[in-house]
Amino acid sequence: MESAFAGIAAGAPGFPWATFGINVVGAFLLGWIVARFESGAEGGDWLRFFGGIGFCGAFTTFSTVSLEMLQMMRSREAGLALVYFVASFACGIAASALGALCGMKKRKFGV
Amino acid sequence: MMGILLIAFLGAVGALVRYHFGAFVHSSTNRMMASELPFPFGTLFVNALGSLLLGVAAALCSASVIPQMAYIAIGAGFCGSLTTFSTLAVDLQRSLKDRRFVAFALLLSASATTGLGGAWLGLAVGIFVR
Repeated sequence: MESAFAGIAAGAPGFPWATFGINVVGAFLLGWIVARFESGAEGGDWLRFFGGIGFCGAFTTFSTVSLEMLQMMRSREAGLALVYFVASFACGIAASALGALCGMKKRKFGV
Repeated sequence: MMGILLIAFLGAVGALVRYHFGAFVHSSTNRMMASELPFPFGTLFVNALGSLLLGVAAALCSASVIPQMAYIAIGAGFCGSLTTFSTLAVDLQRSLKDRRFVAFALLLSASATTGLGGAWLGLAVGIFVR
């Protein structure tokens, strides 16, 4: 991970799977937390605070995505940057919707 | 070991700054604009700020002005934690679900332009300073 991150400064080519995976997983988790503990459920504030704002917020990153896209554009790979952008947001939004679906199901059946 | 501690410490600071500073920007901007439906200005702002900082750190690192360890601690620790993708994804998903397509398009395009613009400006500043 560290060497991969160091490579961004130098402008390493290729699709950044690590950042992509972390962001999609984090979006799923936050979607689940927000839907599961929407209306002041027992222990919800605690989980929203630590799990949502703390963990998901810190786990996922936007600055790395920005810099990775910029480095792709600088090394004349604008197509890859566009693919990366669209894939990140499409999968992130879908993961959040899926997480919300799972969270609402759990709330409904009281599990 | 020292590196991991540094990333963890700066990560915690970044999360706190995101929470408090983001909330401040969010509430003051929405109040100033008297907006009925709150737009996530706080998230937008911390994301742009983090992208700018990461750009500066990356430029300074590739010119060997700062050691690689400092770049990783600032970039992966502070900027990684200061900025967030999960909140953005959930906000975008909710605006789609509520059929607020204008808010969706605004948030997506504003995020892309301020993020890329921030990182670009950061790199430029970093190259200028070194």
